[in-house]
Order: sequence, then C-alpha cells, then structure tokens
Amino acid sequence: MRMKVNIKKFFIPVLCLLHMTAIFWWTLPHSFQGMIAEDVKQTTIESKVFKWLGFAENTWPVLFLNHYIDITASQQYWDFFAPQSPKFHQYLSVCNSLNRDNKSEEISCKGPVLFSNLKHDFDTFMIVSNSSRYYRLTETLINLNDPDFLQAFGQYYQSHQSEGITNNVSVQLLAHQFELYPDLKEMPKSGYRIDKILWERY
Amino acid sequence: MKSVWNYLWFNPIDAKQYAALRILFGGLSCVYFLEFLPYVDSQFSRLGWLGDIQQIANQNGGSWSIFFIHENWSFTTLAYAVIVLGILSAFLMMIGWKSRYTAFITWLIWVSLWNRNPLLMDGDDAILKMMCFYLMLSPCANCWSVDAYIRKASQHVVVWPLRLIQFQIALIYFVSGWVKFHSVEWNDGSIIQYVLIHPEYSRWNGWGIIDSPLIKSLLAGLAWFIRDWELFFPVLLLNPYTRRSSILIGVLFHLGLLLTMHLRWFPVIMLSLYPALLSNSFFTGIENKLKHVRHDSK
Repeated sequence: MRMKVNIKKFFIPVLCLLHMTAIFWWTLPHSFQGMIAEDVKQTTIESKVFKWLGFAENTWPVLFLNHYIDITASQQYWDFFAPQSPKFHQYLSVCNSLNRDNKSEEISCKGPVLFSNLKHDFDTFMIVSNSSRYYRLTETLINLNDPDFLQAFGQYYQSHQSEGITNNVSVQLLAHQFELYPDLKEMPKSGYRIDKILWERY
Repeated sequence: MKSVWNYLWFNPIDAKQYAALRILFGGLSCVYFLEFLPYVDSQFSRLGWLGDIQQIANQNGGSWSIFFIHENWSFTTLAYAVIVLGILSAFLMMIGWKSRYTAFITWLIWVSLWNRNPLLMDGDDAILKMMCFYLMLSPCANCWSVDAYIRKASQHVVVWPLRLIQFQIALIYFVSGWVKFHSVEWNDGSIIQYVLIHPEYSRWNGWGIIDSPLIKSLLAGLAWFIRDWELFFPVLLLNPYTRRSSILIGVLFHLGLLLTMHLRWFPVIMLSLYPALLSNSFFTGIENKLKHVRHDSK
C-alpha cells in the first residue's frame, strides 16, 4: 500500500512535468511562426533558444513530444495581433466573373457574388457583431495562400451558390486588403485598398 | 525538499476552485457549440468546402477527429450529431452530472472540431479545448454539482490538476507578451490606435480620440505596459502581493477588451480562468459571506 502511494506520488508529478514541457516546447516556435526563421544566421539569444528547442527534426524526443501533442490535442499558439497586426483588415470574395476599374484599380465581382464577407459600410462601427468566424477563416485562407484550400473554397461556393444563377463554371477568389493609416487624414478611413486575385479557374 | 514537493503537487485545496472552473467552462463550451450550429454544413460536414481534406497540419490541426470516421456515415447527419452531443455534454458538465465523463466528451468534441477545421478556430477555442482536458483530469465534481448532491464527496481535493491549469495560464500570457516584442506596432506604441479604428475589431469609432497627441502618448504607454505585464506575468504570480495586483490588472485589461473590441467571448474566457489563480481563502471567504447573507435574511 505504501509502495503504491509512493509510486503515485512519483508518477503524477512526472506526467505533469512532461505535459508542461511538451506544451511549452510546442507553443513557443509555433507562436512565433516565421519570425525567428527570418534570422537565418541565428545571431540572437532567442534564435539560439528556438534552435535548441527544435532539436533535430527526427530525433526520438521530437517524435515523442510531437505524438504527445497530437494525441492530447494540445496544439495552441498565442500570436494575438502580432505580427499579423490590426494594421490591416482583409476580406474574401468568390466571383463568377470580374470587373476591373482602371481608374481606381479596384477589382470586384461582376454579376452574382458567390461568397463575400467584404463590408460595404466602413463608417458605421457595430457594438455587436457576428462576423468574426468568417473573418478569421478568410483571413487565414488569404495568409496561407494554399492553392488546395483556395480551390476547395472557390469550387464549393461555385457549385452551391451558382445553381440556377448561371451555367458558367468560371470562378475567381478575390482578396480585398485594406491598410490603415491613422496619421494620414487624406486617406479613406477604411484604409488603402488593394484587390488581388488569389485563385481562378475558367 | 520532500515537503515542498508534496505542497506543490499534493497539497489539499478547496473543491470549490475546480467547481467554479467546471461551471464556467462547461457553460462557455455549451454556448460555443450552439454558435457552431450555423456552420455545420459548410465548415465541418464532408459535404462542406473542406470535403475529404483531413489533418490541416499547416494550421496546427491534429491527426484525429470523430469527423474523420465517415466510411459508412451520412456525413451531414454525423456532423450535426457531433455538435448536438457536444452541446449536451457541455451542459451536463456545467451542472455537474457525471462531471469527469462529460468533461471528457466535451474535450473529445472540441478536438474533433478543431482538427476538422482549424482554419476557423482561434485562441478562445484553444483555451476551451485545453480547459476541458484539464477538467477531465480534475476532481471537479465534488462541489456545486449534481454528482455532489447525489453522493457526498470530500471538499478537500488534490492540487496537481490546478498546477497544470496555472502553468497553462502563465504560458498564454508569457508567450503573448514575448511575441509582441516582435511587432513593430507594439514596440512603437501605435497598436491601440489601430485597434480603435479597425472596422472588424473595434466596437466604437475611435477616429475621434486618436487625434490628440496626449491620448496618443497615453495609448502608447498603455501598450508598452500591457506587453511588459504579459511577459512578466508568470514571475508576478509567484509573490502573493504582486499576484494580487497582477490579477487586478488582468481583470481591468480583459474588461477593457470586452468593452472596446469584438473578440467573441475571449475576454470572458480569460476572466473565467482567474478562479485558478485565486487562493483558497478567497473561496472560503465567499462561502462565509454567503452564509452570513442567508443567516441575515432568515
């Protein structure tokens, strides 16, 4: 009985420390994403720490900790507003065909809009908003710029929303990015707009 | 040395601490699962835009999910069944019926949703997912629960699951603070100006107040203060006096976020973690006050 108690008193803290080590090891580099990778020569103490935390790719501690994080689903990252800061706000549209304004260089959907979370009124601030799930999704899709995801997203809305509207199979994914300039009064309050075609199929 | 080790991992604490966390995170998970209902078809179902895409590793998605078991299932039905099971289990976790089992099922649903579509998920979801994991390990049923009503349980429980939660909270603040040192806007102090005029994040039109140089300086000072406070949060927890002031700063900070920004329930979720940082005497004090109130009303 005494032996059983002692084993419990040894293994519980060991397992707790393992968990703490694993989430600390996984979270740090994932929260910093590409920031440390930019420092190729690894001149700073930070870069050295991250290199040390990364160990070698295929060593057993790395494989073990990766499996532990996967099984316990302890993936987490805490890069709120940094470096992807609120300096920008961005939206996504799925279009059937495009309209380009040569003067303003704005690109927008021509005809039916298959999906869009672009706001039309940036002057009104809402006390209550329910748009944040789609905002998060489209922001991530734009930042990842992964052709597989963009294709899947575009094709889904093309096939689901265009039924009865058009037989045209063309589809374009359009990113609308706005950069805020709080100090430039002559700039629109929504910021400087840049439209970019992320993916298209004709 | 042995006594420190025992104090750190096996010191008995008041069961109310886990009970408060169980009620808060069960309730919040229930609300979040309800809010996921409109997204089931397009975001989680196999008939949604992700189709057969599994394990989105580049957005930190894991390898397993109930949504990946779909050989002989009508996938939309499965997706709805998973969410409804989540709503039910989170509610039962909140009221404390078979608390650890329902905390386990709630965690299972959280992981399944996260791994199915991590592109939709954010920090608030990560905290809820992690907290269900810690609560299923903890004796969270011993107080303020149906379980405790049916069967009397000890009001003094082990501290080690709470240590995991405390480490988790410290890690969130520490990493958030450290990452901010890599942001130009956090370092030059302009970040809060951007937040106040951001059409997606700000609740109020902040253009009117950011023109004043004095307010700009104050906002910059506030940004530096938050960044440094977050970085040193784990150290500040170690001393009882700095812990109290740090908790007060945290409460004010998250109330500020709640009043000014659209972050879904994130500020409420962060404040719901704070019972894990409070001392036992705080919970005993609340109970004594409640007893006095009841006694006086009689």
